[in-house]
Amino acid sequence: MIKRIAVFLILFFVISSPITGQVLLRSKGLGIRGGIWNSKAMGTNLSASGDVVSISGFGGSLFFFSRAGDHLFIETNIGGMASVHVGDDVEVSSLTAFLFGLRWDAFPSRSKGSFYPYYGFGLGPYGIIRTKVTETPFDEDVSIGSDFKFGFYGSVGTFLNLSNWFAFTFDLKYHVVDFPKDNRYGGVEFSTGFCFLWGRKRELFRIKEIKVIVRDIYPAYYPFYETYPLALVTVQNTVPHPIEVKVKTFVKDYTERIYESGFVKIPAGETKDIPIHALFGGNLLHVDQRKPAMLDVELEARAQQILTKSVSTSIMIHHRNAWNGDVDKLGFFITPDEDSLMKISRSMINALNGQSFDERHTFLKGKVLYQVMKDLKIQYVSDPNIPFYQDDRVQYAMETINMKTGDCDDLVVLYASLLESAGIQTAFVDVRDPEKSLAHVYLLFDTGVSSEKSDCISTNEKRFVIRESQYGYRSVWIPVETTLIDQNFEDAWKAGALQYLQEGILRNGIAEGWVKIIDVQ
Amino acid sequence: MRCQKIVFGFLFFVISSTVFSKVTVRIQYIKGEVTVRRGLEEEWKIAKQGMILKDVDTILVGENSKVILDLGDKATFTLGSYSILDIGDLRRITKREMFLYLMSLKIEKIDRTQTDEKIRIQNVSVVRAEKKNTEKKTDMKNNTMDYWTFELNGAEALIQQRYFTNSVMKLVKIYNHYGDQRNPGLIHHRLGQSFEALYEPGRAMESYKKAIQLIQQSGYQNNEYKERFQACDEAIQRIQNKMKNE
Repeated sequence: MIKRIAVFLILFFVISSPITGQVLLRSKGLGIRGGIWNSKAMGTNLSASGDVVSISGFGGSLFFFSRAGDHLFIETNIGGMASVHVGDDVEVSSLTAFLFGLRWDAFPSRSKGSFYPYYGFGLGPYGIIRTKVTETPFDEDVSIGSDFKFGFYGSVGTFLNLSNWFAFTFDLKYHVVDFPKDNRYGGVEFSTGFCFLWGRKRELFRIKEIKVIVRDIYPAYYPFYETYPLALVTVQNTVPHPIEVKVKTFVKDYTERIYESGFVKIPAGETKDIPIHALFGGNLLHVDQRKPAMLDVELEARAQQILTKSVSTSIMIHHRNAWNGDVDKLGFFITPDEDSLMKISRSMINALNGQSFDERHTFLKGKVLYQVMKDLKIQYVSDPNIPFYQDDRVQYAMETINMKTGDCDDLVVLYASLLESAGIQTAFVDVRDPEKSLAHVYLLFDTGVSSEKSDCISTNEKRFVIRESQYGYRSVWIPVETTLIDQNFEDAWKAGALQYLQEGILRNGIAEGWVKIIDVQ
Repeated sequence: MRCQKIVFGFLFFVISSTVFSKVTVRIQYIKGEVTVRRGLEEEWKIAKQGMILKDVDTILVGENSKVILDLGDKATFTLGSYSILDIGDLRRITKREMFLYLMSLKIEKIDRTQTDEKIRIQNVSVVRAEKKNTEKKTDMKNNTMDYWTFELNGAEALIQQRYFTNSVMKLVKIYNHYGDQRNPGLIHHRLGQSFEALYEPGRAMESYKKAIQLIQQSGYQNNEYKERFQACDEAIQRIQNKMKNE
């Protein structure tokens, strides 16, 4: 019989562990245990012989625990054991203990499955009551004795979590009572029982903060946000073993799919900043007014189980044409692959290809495309005055062509788009003149002509800029002032060259950094 | 609003650049063939005594010719035969501006790593090393000139008249435009001299060493290169000794 019970228990433990595996212990619990207590005073005995019945060393306890730290619990036990001897006399003895103790998770980093081994210690008063009823020929003699002693215990045991709210418990204690005088009532106590659990699960990680890096989303820059983080989420590992955390981000109505960061390992006790990106799609380019949006972030941590937490932060989605004034972002408005634009540029280039091909070919293409722009009869106008809104607006090339108007940014973008669609490398010249509190931008394009053959473009070297690529190739670049759209290429070229000479060279703007050349990538 | 400011500023700039240029000089004396190119024009025009030149203008002195420019405050600048000078090259350039310019050239290399598909190697001309033509030809009527030689002579005039920071920037511009193939080591030799005059021994040594390297690479053995090689070597020794003594 005992063998069958033992086999059953072993099978039960083996089967139940993976079924309910990886459940984290809750913060509070209340349960009961029953077991045997083998003390010198009472021993453990269960016997019945004729009229004599003797039971001793059996008892139980009610216990309660509450989490005090990540792996530390405060435990309270009220219990005891009794001894009953029924023969000629009736003797009943009881040992009641009211104990307060601490309990630690034994192997928190290695606890896999549902077992939560622990060790602990506690102390408190032990009450002893002895009752003896002696039968006499004429009467019953009843004597009652009581005593209070102080003692402590040490314990080891384990919980077997079957679910988030229920667990079995197996406990082994060694009591020391009235040490060092006499330890008659001390001894080993072995008990089993169950408990009900409730309260917060122990956290694997804590979200300390989200630092938003980019609160303003400009739709034109959407490819940029795939690699540039919008925010950093600071995650702290609160368990004494490594965890892995993955971040998922989504902006409703604007991202095409959820961005997943991949698992980031965080060593025990450490804090890490995890960058948050977003996969904005082309639908961002349909935004027609500035709107707030929520950046939803879900953190998924895995250690012994998966735990998720969510957090959100607000961002602002700007109008599709909005531009924050950063010239290095102006390139995002350039659309060389747009079909309509390519048709316009290529039809003019094809006409040019009928002429002889020489080293000035690219330069001539640039000249023809400027004429194309001029022939579109686009009128130069300034930006509208938009109250309470400081952002500039930039039109895409086809928008400028369709609307027949554009400001300096629009015209630079248009000309750059035409040039890039014809395979000509371009760069913006960003001027922030400290003396005039003015900012403006014009264009450079690469003729591809070697610097040593610059004479074929112009014998006056002040009309062009020599730039060296990272491969050491020095070529001739032409500056063009695109706001002179109603004038011919020669005038626009002269105006651009003069600006570059005066601002960039003679006033040292390039060297001092207030004239910058930004390549269109 | 921004673009209104830009247009106004641009107009102001165009006007100011023609009227309020920072460097203006007057032609004090002319001998022989001296021409002037205004701003961004292509044509050269005959220069006249008393002509006012602005920093966007360029002056060219032909064969057996000379010009003296009045810089104001009793200062003058003389330009000899076969030389070209941008009037803007005569502006006062501090050491700080010079170093900023040199640094900006290092930073301003086009990064094409992300756009490799756009790289086009067009008609790259390989300048074969050839013997230096000691006859400095100019044919102003037919407009064929060895600009490199003329520019270099202009730079040497700056060195001779102690415009050392200006000469450094000029030499670097010449090198960027034409490279060094025509006369290996010459530009760096001159750069070394300018840096040495500016009490920049480190940069001077770098330039002299580069000059030596270029001369060695060119493989020429004629006297001019040998003399230049020796001069650079001696200059390096001189600087090293000076640094040791200090």
